[in-house]
Amino acid sequence: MIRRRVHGGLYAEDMERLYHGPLPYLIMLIGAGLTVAILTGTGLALSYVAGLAPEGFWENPWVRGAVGAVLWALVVAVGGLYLTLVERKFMARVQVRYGPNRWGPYGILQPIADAIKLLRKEDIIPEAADPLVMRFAPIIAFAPSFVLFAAVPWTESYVASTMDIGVLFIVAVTALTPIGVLMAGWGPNNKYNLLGAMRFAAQELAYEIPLVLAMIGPIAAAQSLNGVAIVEAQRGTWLGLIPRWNIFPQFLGAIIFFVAFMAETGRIPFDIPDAEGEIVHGFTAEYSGMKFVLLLLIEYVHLIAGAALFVVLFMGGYLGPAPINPFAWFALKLLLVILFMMLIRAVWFRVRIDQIMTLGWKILLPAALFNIGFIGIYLAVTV
Amino acid sequence: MRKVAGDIIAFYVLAFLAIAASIMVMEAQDIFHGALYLALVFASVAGLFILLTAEFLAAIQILVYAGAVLVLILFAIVFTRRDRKGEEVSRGHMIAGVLLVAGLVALLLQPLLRVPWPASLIEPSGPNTYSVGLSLFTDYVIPFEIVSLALLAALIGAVYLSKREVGS
Repeated sequence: MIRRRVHGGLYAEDMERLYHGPLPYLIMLIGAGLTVAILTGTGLALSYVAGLAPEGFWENPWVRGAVGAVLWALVVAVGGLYLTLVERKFMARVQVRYGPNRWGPYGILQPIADAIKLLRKEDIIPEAADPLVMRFAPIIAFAPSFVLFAAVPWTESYVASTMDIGVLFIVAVTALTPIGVLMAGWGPNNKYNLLGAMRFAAQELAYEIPLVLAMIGPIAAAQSLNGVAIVEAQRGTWLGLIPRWNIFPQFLGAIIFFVAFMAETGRIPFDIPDAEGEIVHGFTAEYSGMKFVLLLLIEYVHLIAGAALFVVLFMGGYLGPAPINPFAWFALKLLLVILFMMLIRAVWFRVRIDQIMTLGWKILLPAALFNIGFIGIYLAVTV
Repeated sequence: MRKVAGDIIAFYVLAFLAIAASIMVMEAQDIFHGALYLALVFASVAGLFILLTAEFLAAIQILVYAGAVLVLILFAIVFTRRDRKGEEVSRGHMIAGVLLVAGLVALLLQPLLRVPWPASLIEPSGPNTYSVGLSLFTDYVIPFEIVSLALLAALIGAVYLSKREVGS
């Protein structure tokens, strides 16, 4: 029998066994267990390190801000880098392909190879471009999506800023991204960049309204804009079994929020701003090197931010039963939401621009308004 | 004491940015650049609001002005302008502009001269989003509703004006 090598050291028959026997489920179970253990360990280690500091050390806003920025930068940089691999492997699994498998076992070095390749590219500014606008565009487009993490509570104490306006700050800062993207569309003086940026901005404007309106539900339930307060309002259970997460009474709001933030990230099925087949990846078309990386990372940072916001608003944030600590709970829920979004990307297709606009303005917006009325009545009855 | 010094430094930086950027809005040769400087003006003013412990107002300023209004302006520029350099201003327009600005300044000076400006820094009053919401829906509910109605009317008017007759 001829054994055909297909997967690094694996043979076709091994792959067959790996994909169709009971083994994959066992591997998944072990993987999930390992993930939980690693996250819990990280949480414990972090609390230990944080406890070493003198009394009142963490009260200093400069310390909180600096440490928070560094930690979130790590999460976003490493997370953003490795989410590309997770996404490609996960999508490959869903679509019965192998995915990246050349660099390192199971392709785990692929993101690093990608990063090295992208960083070594020549940084090109076209002659007809507006150089200043083109240079600043990736920074202005990327920075807001990073700044918003200042108000995202990882746990009750791991939050960079306990600002009163919390989630409103997040929405306000996110609203700045289209400026950077429009700059990226205008600066290089290329029609594909311009088309992509216009599509992005139109989509962002259309979905920002249902997004914010859907957030009113959890805000009203907590009577606060602060992330920690919104999570704390979801503490406890119904009948000792179902957690009091906002997703249960506010299911409609959760769906609206989820769809809206998927549209804001501009991923499949809402990826008409990229649309490789028609406008050659839209507003990133003329960019190369580090600038391209920044523009590309916006998508993944938005993905993490949107998922984090969804977890805080609708899935009880860091709350969860004891053996797994709050740090790990938040990370696990975050991963779950991100994987769900990747699943949608793997099985869905790109929708047309008019369908996207119709969904945003004619369906989600009225639904969000109806949702506010419904939540109002629900809260008036129960509270 | 240190915090107050920080406040003062932040105030001067933000005030300088706001004024410099507003001058650049007018001076920029490229209208797209002008719009971007306008974004900087909005952001600096939001920073000034934060210094006045009005963080709710600051967030709304960013969300509505920098986020929505400015993106619409950029959108309109990208959609319409073919010549990016602008054209010469005629004499009549110049005179009309000066008169309009003089009138606006006279109008703005009325409240500016009347307000008793505090001589010292405003003490941070702590979280105030809740009280903003409360007073909007109790003391100021009528003006609030009137503004909402005016906005709704403007919205319907805009839709009517931009609506194309079917078949024409």
